[in-house]
Amino acid sequence: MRPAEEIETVFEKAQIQPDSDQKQRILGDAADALQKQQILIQPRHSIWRQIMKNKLSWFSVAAATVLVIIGLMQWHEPIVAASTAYAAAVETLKQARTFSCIESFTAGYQDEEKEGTYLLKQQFLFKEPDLKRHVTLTSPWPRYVGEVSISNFAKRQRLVLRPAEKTARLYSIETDYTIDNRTGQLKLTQLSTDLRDRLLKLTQGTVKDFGRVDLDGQKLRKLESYKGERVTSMWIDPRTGYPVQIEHRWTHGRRKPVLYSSIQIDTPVDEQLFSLDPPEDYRFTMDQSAWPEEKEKMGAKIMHLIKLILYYANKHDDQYPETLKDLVDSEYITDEALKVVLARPDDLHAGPVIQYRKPNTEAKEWGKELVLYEIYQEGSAGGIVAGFLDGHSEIVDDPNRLGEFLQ
Amino acid sequence: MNDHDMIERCKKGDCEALGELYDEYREHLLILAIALLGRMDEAEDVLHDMFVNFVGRLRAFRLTGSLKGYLSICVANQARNHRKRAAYRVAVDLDEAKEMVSGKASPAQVAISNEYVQLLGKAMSRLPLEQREAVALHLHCDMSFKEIARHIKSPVSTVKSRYRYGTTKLRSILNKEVAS
Repeated sequence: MRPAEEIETVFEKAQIQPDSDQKQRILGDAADALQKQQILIQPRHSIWRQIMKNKLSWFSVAAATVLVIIGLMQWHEPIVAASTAYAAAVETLKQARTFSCIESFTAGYQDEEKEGTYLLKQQFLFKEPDLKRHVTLTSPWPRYVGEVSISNFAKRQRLVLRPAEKTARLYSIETDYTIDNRTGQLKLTQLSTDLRDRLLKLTQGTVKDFGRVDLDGQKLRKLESYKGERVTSMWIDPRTGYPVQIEHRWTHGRRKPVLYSSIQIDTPVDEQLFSLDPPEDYRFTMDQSAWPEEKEKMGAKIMHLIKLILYYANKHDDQYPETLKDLVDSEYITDEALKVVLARPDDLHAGPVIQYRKPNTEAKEWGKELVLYEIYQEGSAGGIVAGFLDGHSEIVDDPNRLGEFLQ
Repeated sequence: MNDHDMIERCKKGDCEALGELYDEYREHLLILAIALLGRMDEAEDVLHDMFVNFVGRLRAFRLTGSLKGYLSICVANQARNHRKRAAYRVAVDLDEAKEMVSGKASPAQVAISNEYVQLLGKAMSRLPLEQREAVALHLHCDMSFKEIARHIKSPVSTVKSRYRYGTTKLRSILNKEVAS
């Protein structure tokens, strides 16, 4: 048998049956593209020449043009093609330097006393390059309702206000690190524009126009984009072209719908909303629980790897990697970047200092199921950083305790 | 109807011809995309984008060789761009991870492709993209090493060695898969 013969056989035997939904989607968009070309091909100059020849036609066309312009001024939004309007609305998100919205979705919760589902509503506001405000609008636990977290990445401080308790706590984020997944290098945390960027990732599918609809007394244009199993509804302000509300839902029903409402793009923002000064009637404390910088760095490395391991398990039916090399093989990280993540923060060439332990998913307490830990070495007198299956990390300063986790 | 007629009818805005063109090459191109990307959902996205882009450029298009070969190269280019965009998308939050889970082939998708498609995607996904390109374009699209080299702008010797490494590794993967 030729070396490639069996591979050729696999190609030959690979068969995919026709999928009418897929065909409809692709041909729908292709037909749109084809139609646009047909419009471009129209020989407009010859029509114009004919009109100019006849005075009566000239006046008729002039009158019709005026009427069309008036129509455009009043009803310009339906004339803009649905797909163009949708793309333009996404583009405004891309350009947004000040962005706010309320995200709402049904979330599950569980603690020792109660469990169930609730409508989680949270408000995000960010102003590039370094200001962020997050408000928890609903929570099953009264103490968290209305909690405000204000981060100033230039000052590297975060203020957390809890109106229910009237407390204000100031955290230093001087040593808040994260990992660049491309290089594996540590970097200081910066303003995250993830939410806006996530909305941008919503590539456009076939767009359907529902025309004008009423939303909280506003007349908005509603468009729906169908891409695979995701349906995205977008309500657009016809005067600005900006999206006011976006909803995603999935036809497979495995995921709950997510609503982004009260979207505001580049509207003036009161600087006081980002103030790190606590309100006068709040009890103010400074957080003292930050780890030493070296441990913060090690913690960032371990938490990053735990995140990748969870991605891996999600994709592999809850099977955890045998070794960290599986993360490389599955292309969650490159071999070079993994080496950098596993190395000592101050010496990238000294070999790995983080050890992986394949977790036992049958364990009762995921908070005690060790996944990654710092190898004990010189300078570890203050303890080692350990990461657990529930996604938390802690400093373990008692070797016996580490032994228990390892059993 | 030959490729030239089909293209000319499409250029005139004939949607029926567009459907015929799609039906003619869909399976071949989708299998190529799966071989290059390893995932059904991403392959469908690539096929979608490639087809819409191709139709969008149709006005200026002139067919000089095989349409199948041309579309195959378009899929390979689209897949490469797709991979570049998606390369490190895992550096996002856990909410995104949930989306990735839902991005797995749905039961319906699995049902419409046979086990060789699954095997192909799984085995090819363990090769670097360059090797996948060389193997898939040569074995699935019947393109010569010279043609592949011209399209991917690499020396013929490079394409040959990528193909050799790729097929050797694939054989060992396929043997293990069959054994297990």
